[in-house]
Amino acid sequence: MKMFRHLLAFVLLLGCSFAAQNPARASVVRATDSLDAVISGYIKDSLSGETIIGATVRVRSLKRGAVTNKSGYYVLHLPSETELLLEVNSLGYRSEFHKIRLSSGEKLTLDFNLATESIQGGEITVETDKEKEEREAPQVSRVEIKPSQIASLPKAGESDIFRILQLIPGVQTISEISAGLYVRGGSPDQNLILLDGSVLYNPSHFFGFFSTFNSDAIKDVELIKGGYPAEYGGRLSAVLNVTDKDGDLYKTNGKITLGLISSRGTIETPIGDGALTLSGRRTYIDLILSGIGLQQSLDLPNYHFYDLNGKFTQTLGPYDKIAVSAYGGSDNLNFENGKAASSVEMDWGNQSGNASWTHLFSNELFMKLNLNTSHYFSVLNFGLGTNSFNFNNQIYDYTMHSDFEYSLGNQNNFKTGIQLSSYHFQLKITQGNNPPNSNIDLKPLYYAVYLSDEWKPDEKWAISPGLRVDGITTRPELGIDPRITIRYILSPDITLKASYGIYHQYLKLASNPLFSASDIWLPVDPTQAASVADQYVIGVSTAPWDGFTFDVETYYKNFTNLVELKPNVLGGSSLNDIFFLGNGFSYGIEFFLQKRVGNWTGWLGYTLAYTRRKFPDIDKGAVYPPTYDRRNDLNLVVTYKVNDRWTLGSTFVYATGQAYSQTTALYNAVEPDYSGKLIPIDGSMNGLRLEPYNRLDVSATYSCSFFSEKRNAELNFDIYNVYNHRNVWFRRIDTSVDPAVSEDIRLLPILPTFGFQIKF
Amino acid sequence: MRLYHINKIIGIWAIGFIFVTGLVGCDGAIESQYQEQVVVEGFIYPGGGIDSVILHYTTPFTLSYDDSTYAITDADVRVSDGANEYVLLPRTARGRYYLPASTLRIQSGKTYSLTVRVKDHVVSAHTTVPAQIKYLNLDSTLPKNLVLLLDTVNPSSFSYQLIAGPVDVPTRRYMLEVSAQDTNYGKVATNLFGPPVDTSAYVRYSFIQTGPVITLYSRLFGWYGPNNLTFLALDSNWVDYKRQVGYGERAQIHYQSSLNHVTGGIGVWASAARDVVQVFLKPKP
Repeated sequence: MKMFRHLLAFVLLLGCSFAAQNPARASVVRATDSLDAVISGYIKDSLSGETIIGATVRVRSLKRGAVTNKSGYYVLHLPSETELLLEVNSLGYRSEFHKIRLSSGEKLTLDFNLATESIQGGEITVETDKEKEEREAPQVSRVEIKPSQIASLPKAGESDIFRILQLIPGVQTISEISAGLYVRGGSPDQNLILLDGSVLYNPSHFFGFFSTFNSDAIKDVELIKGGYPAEYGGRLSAVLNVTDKDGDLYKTNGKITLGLISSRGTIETPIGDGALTLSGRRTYIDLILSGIGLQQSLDLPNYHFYDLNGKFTQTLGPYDKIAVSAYGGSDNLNFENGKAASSVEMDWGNQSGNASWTHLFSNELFMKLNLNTSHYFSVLNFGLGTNSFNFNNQIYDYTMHSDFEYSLGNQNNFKTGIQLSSYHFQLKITQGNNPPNSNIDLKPLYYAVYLSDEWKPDEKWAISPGLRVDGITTRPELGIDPRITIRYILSPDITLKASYGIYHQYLKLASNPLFSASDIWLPVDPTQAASVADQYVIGVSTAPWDGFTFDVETYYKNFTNLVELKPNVLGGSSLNDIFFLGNGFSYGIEFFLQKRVGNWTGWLGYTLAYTRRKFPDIDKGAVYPPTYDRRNDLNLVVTYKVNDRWTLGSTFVYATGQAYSQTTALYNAVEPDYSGKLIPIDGSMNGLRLEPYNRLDVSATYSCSFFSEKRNAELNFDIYNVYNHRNVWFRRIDTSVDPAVSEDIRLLPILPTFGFQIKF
Repeated sequence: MRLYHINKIIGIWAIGFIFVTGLVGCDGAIESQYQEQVVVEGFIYPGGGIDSVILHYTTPFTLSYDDSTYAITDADVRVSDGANEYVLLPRTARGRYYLPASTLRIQSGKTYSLTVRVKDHVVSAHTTVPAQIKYLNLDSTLPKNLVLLLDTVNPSSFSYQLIAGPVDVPTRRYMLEVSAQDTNYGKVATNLFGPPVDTSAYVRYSFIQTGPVITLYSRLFGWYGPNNLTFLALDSNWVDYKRQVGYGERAQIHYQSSLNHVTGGIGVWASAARDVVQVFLKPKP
């Protein structure tokens, strides 16, 4: 019944937007009715030819504008027979101005090439216009990160977009050595992580320390923390959309970055009417340790990870573009101890491929067809003599999704699409020569269809209703997800936004947050239904001073059918064997003060949040906070461009301590012929907090020339944890001493690192 | 009102709100109080009596555990087989209760219920005894003299596959217990990673297996000399208890109520069918 009411409301709303579009049915004749001409095209970087996501085209006198989509494409409806001044800009680019005059019914294709420009104080007016466009965009809770922002901030040995995302209000982490993103009370498995449209199932390396994304290969990172539109589905909390570089269309260039623990390289070259980009990254701790003999003498494991990214794009005339991209990354760990006859062999990672075809049926109708494949694998072989434990988890995901975008006047922008995903889940856990503990082999089909509209009845209002219907063949029910976002421009400097949506998730993750190498994804089955979330978001975006934006958002999320991994689970054949089922909720408020232009840039973010879970089988059904519940989370990020050579960066983090369960008692667990061992008994689930988390990192980047006349190289100096505050990772109980004591396991001390980057 | 003023008001309001919410964020901890609980530990096998049900109280954290201090000596302990109820007898060792086989002989397939009453506590648990098992391949897998030689230079060459049967239910789980019978022959110096550890434990367990085929490998031995190899077919209580207590000499996870099948208390009341063979482990010259 609830679903039906949502559906009815959506249909009525969508009907309203259609009715408003039709002049014959609309009760008010609008000025927009005279918009009988249209311009459309791509906005690109003039140096590389790379399309620019989120660039704006506007006619200031008409207060009309359009923003490029993820393919860099825009559509703008304009009046005819009038001379208009077009203004094109994007953050970090010099603005362009073009005078045009369109005839009645004209449909003009107009591409723009923007030149890059260093963001200095003098350009504030233009940049704040771009920010104004972003502030007034209908989407709530959206954050965009550019690779240049990643480069100038401190990094613990390796540039990582997840480290930057963890500094955004509403995004929390469980520890500094975890790349997991906990967005507004959601766990990492509730995030849809896309690389060029392909889903990545385990986006981390080094047991969760680093993300899988090579920052040199990235063009754009978009995080939608909540209230995401109907084109996305299958996850409860957030969407992280990472787009790889298309490559340089005009000249061959490259970049090599040498770091303490890894190095990476990227090369871009034009091919035909397109480009090819290749990137690679590898850690070499194993090679160093082996080279100096430490690996052998200290019996250390052999470990490394690598990534490879490739993308090939071609423009096939004015209406068609194709892109083929691939990613492969893997972690490998090997350890053999001959004396103890034990060995461990682990191999886990992702492979993905994407082929996309972008086609313009007309200036107003844009289509993108994607064929994606994604493969996640995690293999663990543990040997004790001839006895063995084997864990083999594989997911194959073959997805087709096509998206259509139709611009109907400047009032409506419709999006519709379908998605079909064929999954193959394999989980086999065996010990010795006995029947497997788990032997799951499922091939479900996920299907989804969506329709949404961005309806702008006037300059102030934007209403974006959407509906997504999806399901999976392992369960009979359909997920009907109505979503709506409303924006109202209260004044030129103040925009109000609100959003509501229902979200279904059909895949469940069994994972240890401290050890991400053996994640197990399984689809819902007859024993457990899909997880569902209701999300409510209300926010205000303001520009209190020139160059500054200040956003406040508050949210409430209600979760049903969440899962928690059963303790020391030995395997199973259904979700009920592996997971407890429960519910939860989270709410909070986020403050985000940003300065994105000038010599001083950065942000100050503060989040006040509450997250709770309730599982009948955990803590006798009491409501409890999960370990990642953070009451206060404060992040300060500052970058200062001293001059053309030096850039300084700093990040400061303060957060409420991690929730943990206080041990109140012990008991002596006896086994036959065994005197026993002390087992800690905890009180209220996660009832206490570790000490607050805080850390300051600083960095300095020096631009210089390296066998070249131009500045083609950069030296990075970073100090991680400047004041050497050893934060607590977790608290353990040491029963080897009498009486037993609690002991804090602490995180990394002060850690200076450096790196060198050269461009050619 | 002019927009300039609106921005000012919003700015001031926001700063004030951050301050207030920051204070709201300083919420207090949920303190947990120690609650005394009864711990029950009893294991039974078909063909025998009830050798020992161990009863003690939990120990407050930060205090030393002492077996005799926390032993429960004044409990009323009873076992029922559905038809009759038997009162267990206290042993001289504090907190231990037993029932001789002459009074009650445990039988496969039967469910035995344990009830403990002490002070205000009433604790109960049930176990259904698995069908009796036997080693099926000792003659073909072990040396005739049952003397096993361990090559300490190449311990991975030490491997014997033990099979028992029959399988009474497909979901049955199995485990091998290796217990040293005489520690005068010296320790087996092995450790999973790094140098050998000094251990006083004389019992080691294999991982729980889904079938009745278990590989006997060198790390299961803690001591040279005579060792009993006990093949166990476990009931589900024992399996969950093992998931709780783990395999090493220290707890791997904290107490989990979902793995506890003792109502009104904690611990285990479990049964297993078993077969035992004694071997003699010697270092290879």
